[in-house]
Amino acid sequence: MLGSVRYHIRIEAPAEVVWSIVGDPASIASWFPDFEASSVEGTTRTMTATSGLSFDEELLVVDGILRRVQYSLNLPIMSFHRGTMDVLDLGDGTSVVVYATDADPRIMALVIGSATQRALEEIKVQAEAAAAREDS
Amino acid sequence: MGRKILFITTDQQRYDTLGCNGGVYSSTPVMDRLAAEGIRYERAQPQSVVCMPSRSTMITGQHPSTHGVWMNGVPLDPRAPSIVEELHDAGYSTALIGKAHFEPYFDPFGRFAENKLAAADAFSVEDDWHDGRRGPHRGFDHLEMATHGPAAPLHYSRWLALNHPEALGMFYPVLDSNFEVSALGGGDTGAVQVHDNQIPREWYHTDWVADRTMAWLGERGADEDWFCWMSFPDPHHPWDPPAAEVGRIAWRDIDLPAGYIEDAGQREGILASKPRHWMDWYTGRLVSNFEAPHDWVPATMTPDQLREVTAKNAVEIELIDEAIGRVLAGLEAQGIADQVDIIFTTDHGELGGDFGLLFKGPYHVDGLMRLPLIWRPAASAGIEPTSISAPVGLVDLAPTFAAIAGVEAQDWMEGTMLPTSERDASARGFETSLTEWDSELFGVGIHLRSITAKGHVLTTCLPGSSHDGTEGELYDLVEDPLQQHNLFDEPGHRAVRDDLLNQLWDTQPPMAEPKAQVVAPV
Repeated sequence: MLGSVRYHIRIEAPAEVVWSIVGDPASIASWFPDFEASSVEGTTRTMTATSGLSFDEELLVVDGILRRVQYSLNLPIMSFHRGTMDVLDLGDGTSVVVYATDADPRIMALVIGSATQRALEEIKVQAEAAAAREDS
Repeated sequence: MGRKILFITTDQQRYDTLGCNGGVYSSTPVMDRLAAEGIRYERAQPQSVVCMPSRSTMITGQHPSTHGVWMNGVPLDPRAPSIVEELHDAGYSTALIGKAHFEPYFDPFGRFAENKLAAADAFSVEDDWHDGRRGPHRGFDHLEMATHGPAAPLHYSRWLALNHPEALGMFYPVLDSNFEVSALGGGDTGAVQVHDNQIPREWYHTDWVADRTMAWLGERGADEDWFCWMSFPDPHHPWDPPAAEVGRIAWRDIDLPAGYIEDAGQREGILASKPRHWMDWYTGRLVSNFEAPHDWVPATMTPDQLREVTAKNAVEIELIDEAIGRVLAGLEAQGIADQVDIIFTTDHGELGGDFGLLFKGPYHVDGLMRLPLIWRPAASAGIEPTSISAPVGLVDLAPTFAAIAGVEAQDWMEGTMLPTSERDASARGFETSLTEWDSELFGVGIHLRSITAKGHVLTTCLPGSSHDGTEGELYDLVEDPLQQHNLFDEPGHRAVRDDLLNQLWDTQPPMAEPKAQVVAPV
């Protein structure tokens, strides 16, 4: 059975502001913890961790209308991985970001997913700062 | 000059595995002598029955709800209060040699300090402290770490890889291909987590921990105050002691443990009288988290498999006893043995065949909750040898270390200095001890709160995936020392139950907010 973990965060910023951060796949290293570089070529995203570990991800969905990103991490120790981020507009100038991690073996969902909560916290910081700049 | 402190811990050791506590399988003359010369606690309780929360209680002096490590896989915040930081401030040299496990081992992205030191050829790192200052990680000048084999990136693994690489593959493979706790069987009986380990004794982690402890102690000056936590990874599973030592206890010749009920019908009847998570695990319907092999069904365990597990566990305990003996002989040779306070305990127990179960989990009975605890005070303390039956907890260790060192107990400590006599225990109100269980993972959530008093232990099951909040356990520890008769719903025991529930909720700390995140299996 797959392992599945999910985190979410409420952000005091409009969905389009949050999407300007989340919807740029190449910028993930600026908000995902423990990564120092990321780049995109075609549908392949290359990630480099601060520990030196480097691996590729396949971008599956980058949908600016749904405000959804899905990707798959290619590591030989996993037979399946799916990361899914949804930015939901709450209609009052705020939004919710949901970040789900599914993986087989299930333990990898826990280990990878554990970093996504910290990623959400950083997205919140960046999005709320951007919204404040737009307001001022 | 203060009193030096040697804090000795094992991992997952039952109370009844020491000779001084009535143990019959192992010969433990060293620990028996410490008990005869010091204080032997007959009702020492952990505040959690798994490693990370329990070890976090030892170092913080707090219950799991307070320090926030509510299950394995939740790291202890580096800024959590630490008695070791207090000792460091008081001028003590500080070390932990062996198993730490305040941070998860399963760390493929290298996030945690404990897992980075060995590769950096380092023994400490500067980190934030709870009071806003910075200092050595959790207060330790020297961290030299090991676990149950060479899998984790710790100092023992590195030492083995550099010096004896041929031994790396000799240990039991603790994880299977899906990174789950392995259910692989071995030995003569195919018993789960049993393995014939061809490693020479001198290379095994028990002797390595003692060797490295002696090396660190040997570098200390005669007038130097020190706190040394010597932390053996055994007798925690896997049960894979050096094969050359296994012959000292012949598994075929030993009696089955008292808590093992041979008649399957009787065993299952007793399990059915307990809250449902007991039978669900026994039959393989539920494994609450990563404390036991995911693919092992306890109901399949044979009596001979239990004998072999018990014998190998006993061998590991004898090796620890002998390793402690070497360290104590070293202190004698240094001429400082009587200046040292020695405290011996473990983080939690082992089911050890009770009710047909092994390992650990959300099962608050004596197999997991009654711990060996011995305090052999320094001669200068003038404390008389005794035994104490009042309930005490691992939460009382940090204030005890503070008292030994002459450091003021801190407000954040939730325990109090261990009693030094039955009278002292009575005068200072050692009447109950609390134990918590929380686990939430992949759709399974179990939450228990327990209180142990003189004579009874009560557990209430909070709402979760297995319980609706009405279930519980109540045992009379005097009339039913094996906890086979659940009195929780018996009308004749309603008053005792309600009184204990009231005491529990009067004293149970609330869960720290925000609730810390599970980031790894263990």
